[in-house]
Amino acid sequence: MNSSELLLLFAERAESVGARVFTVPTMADAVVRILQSCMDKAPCERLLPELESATDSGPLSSNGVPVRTERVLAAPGLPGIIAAALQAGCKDAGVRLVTDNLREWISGVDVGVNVALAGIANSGTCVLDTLNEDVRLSGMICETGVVLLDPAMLVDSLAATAPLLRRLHAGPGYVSYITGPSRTADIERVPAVGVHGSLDLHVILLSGVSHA
Amino acid sequence: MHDRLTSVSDYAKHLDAALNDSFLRRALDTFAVAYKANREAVFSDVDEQALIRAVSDSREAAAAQLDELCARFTAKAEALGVRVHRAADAAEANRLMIDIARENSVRRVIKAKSMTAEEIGLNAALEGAGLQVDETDLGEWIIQLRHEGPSHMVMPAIHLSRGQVAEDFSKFTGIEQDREDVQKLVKVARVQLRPVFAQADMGITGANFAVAETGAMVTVTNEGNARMVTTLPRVHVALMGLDKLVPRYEDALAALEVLPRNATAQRLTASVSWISGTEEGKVRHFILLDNGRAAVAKDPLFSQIFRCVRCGACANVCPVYRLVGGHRMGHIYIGAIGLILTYLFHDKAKAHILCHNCTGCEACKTVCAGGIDLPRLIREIRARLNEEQGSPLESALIGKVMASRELFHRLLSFMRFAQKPVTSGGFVRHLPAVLLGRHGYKSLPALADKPFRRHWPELTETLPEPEAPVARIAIFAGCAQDFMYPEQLKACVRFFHARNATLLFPMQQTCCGLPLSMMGERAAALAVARQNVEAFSAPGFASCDHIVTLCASCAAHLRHVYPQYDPAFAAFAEKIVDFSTLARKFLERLPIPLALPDPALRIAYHASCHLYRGLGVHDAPRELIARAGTYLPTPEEDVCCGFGGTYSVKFPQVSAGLLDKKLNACAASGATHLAVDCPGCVMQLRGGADARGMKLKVVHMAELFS
Repeated sequence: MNSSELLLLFAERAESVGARVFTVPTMADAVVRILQSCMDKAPCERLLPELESATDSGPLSSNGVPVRTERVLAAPGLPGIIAAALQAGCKDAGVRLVTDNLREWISGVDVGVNVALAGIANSGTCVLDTLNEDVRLSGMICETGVVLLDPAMLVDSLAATAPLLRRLHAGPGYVSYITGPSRTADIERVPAVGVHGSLDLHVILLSGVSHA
Repeated sequence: MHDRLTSVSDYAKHLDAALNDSFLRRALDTFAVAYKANREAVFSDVDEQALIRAVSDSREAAAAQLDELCARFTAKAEALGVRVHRAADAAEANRLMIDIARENSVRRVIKAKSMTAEEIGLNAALEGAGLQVDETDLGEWIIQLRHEGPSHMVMPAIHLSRGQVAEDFSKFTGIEQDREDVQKLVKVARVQLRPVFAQADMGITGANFAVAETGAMVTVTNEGNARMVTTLPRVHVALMGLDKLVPRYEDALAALEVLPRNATAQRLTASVSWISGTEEGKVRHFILLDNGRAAVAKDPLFSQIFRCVRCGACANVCPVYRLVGGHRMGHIYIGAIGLILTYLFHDKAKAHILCHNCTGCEACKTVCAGGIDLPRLIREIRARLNEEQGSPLESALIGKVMASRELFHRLLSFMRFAQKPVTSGGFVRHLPAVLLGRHGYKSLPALADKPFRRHWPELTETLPEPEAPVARIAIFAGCAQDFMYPEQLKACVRFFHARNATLLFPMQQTCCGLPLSMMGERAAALAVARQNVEAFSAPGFASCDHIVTLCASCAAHLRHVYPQYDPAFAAFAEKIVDFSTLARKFLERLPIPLALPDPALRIAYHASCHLYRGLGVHDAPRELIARAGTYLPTPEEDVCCGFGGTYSVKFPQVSAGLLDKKLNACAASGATHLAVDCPGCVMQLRGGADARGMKLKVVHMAELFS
């Protein structure tokens, strides 16, 4: 499979499991896209309001949970150049950027941003190095997960990821394969997203992001 | 919780309750149909058989080097800071778990779904030690609120309706929850469980794979709860059976291609976590559970269970599971593998009750991710239980009678005489209802006035030897056709004789032995096998080209099981062929053309289990039907009719349920005829059609051309 075929297959398969896939030409466009993902969504539910005093509560959500008035974007462990661009973008948009101590935000954040190590075209999967606990948490407690993926890092199938796993497990390691948002069909086999983690997953394809 | 398996009669009552649960029936029906189509779609982009072989080979290899794998995994994981334990049995694993909790001053435990934890009764043990335990998988959480066990290995709450879930959630939260909106109900779990995640001290997961080369473990979920359980609490313990060990990443990745496809018809689940070592400030333990596995690894037959990836597909396609649900189709583990693991890991008395609730239709075998011969293992368990605990009286008696052909055939002659006053139209009628009991759902066939073997001498006189025979075909009659349906065999004889074949019938042949094997009467089954092989090796018969049998069940047993008894039986087994396959071969040569198809014959087809899956014959009968009349496809042609030999006697209520589905499909199709390739299916379907007063003519394929 050539690279454009891999890209098409990845996008098709990721979207078939409920992810949205965007292709952007530059880092600046990626930041715009991330902020859009943050602003377009409903306000974040505060699932543990008592643990959190830093932000204000708005009205109750449809699930009977207080929502947060401020937008919060978690982006720990990003490469410096992306982190800087995102910081500037968040400031302009009035979005609070969180880059560490994610445990303080277990009640939920609007968006979690991560960079993928690789993508698996056949299953529409993003492969993430999540050994850093903040990185891992940002993908679990967000309502919308955003993954930046370099199309050059696409492989065709699961089997091709063995060398990567071997490398990351030379010491303590935690590698996450993420395929669409968290979902369940445990009640009458009706598909439903967001029983625990992200309600949405946005994959942003950006050439060169793996070398940033 | 699992108290429904105390006796055969209690079990029957629980089966009845399940059969009357209309929600369960509807839910599992919808699932079975959707699963089949979805599974096919997600397997279309991979080489299914190659993947199954890869899983099977790597797991068998792992079983063969279990000690070494275990040692390598332990050393690697410990080098990265994980504390690794090996537990001999459930009690030891529970004790280790409690010790770890105490050592780390744990009060609150959260869990991701783990069948191994169910196997050892972990929740009860932890709660007994004063710990607060919360399940985090939605399905597991629901059944925990209800104090139930899972009814499916992957979808633990599939037996429950949204209304029941809403009721439980309302009770738990003290707030009336929406009874219709599943999306809202799912969010109840999101809202309720987030604080539970935040406050937990210890997280317990299973592992889908344990990779020996680095000491890493893998969890596979859709909800992402295993990620949270392995991340938020300060202590993580993974409980894994020794069968989860694989040598390398390649082994885990191959199994991961099959597992979600087979379990839920997904290419991959939403979240897969690959975890090695410990993180700073946290504690991680791995408990490797033996509980009988190391011994099983050394068993030449049962070591196959190491190939199981716990996908649940054997339940997904099981026609019995579909009718009665998982709580009646396993003890802890569910489906065909559940019947087997109950014997291996749990309670032999429970296994004895459960292991007979299998029609032997082989649907599970064809979808198993590891290519496990599940029906064979279930038959083997019946045999071992009979050997260990003694055969039930009727089973032992049948074994004794059938091991002697003369005795068996004399008994059949006597029964023919005895049934005379109550017989009409080929069925046994006028029996008082009290004698029929639960078997009134179908009319029972009468024994023929004269068995086929007594027709044979006159048949050979009326059908002279062809001048230039194209083939020598020996007939294996099988008991049902020999003694109940000789006309089917006569139709077969005429068909091939008209096409220049020489036909032979060794009189010394007897029952193929399948019913004995299904009852676990191993010695008698082997004895009849030997008699049959000898009968067909006798002078005059040994040189035949084919051995045709009109019974799909006999055919599959003779072909596949005989060589397992004795490799010397292989030459006999290779000659076995079913009617449809051989008939199509002869029609291709076409010395005598058939009449044109009769459009007035609207013929539906039932694909007998042992023909369709046992022998892999798919097209031949359908092509033959199209040459006799109009072939009328009906839904789910390949699902078992519920006969299953002795199965329909042991579990009449389930058998009747399966039969109903078949006859409903035929009635809806407007078929005039239903053609099948097996006299067992003829008996079941014809008896059912007669009891319902349907006009449908149930015929054997051979009869379509007579």
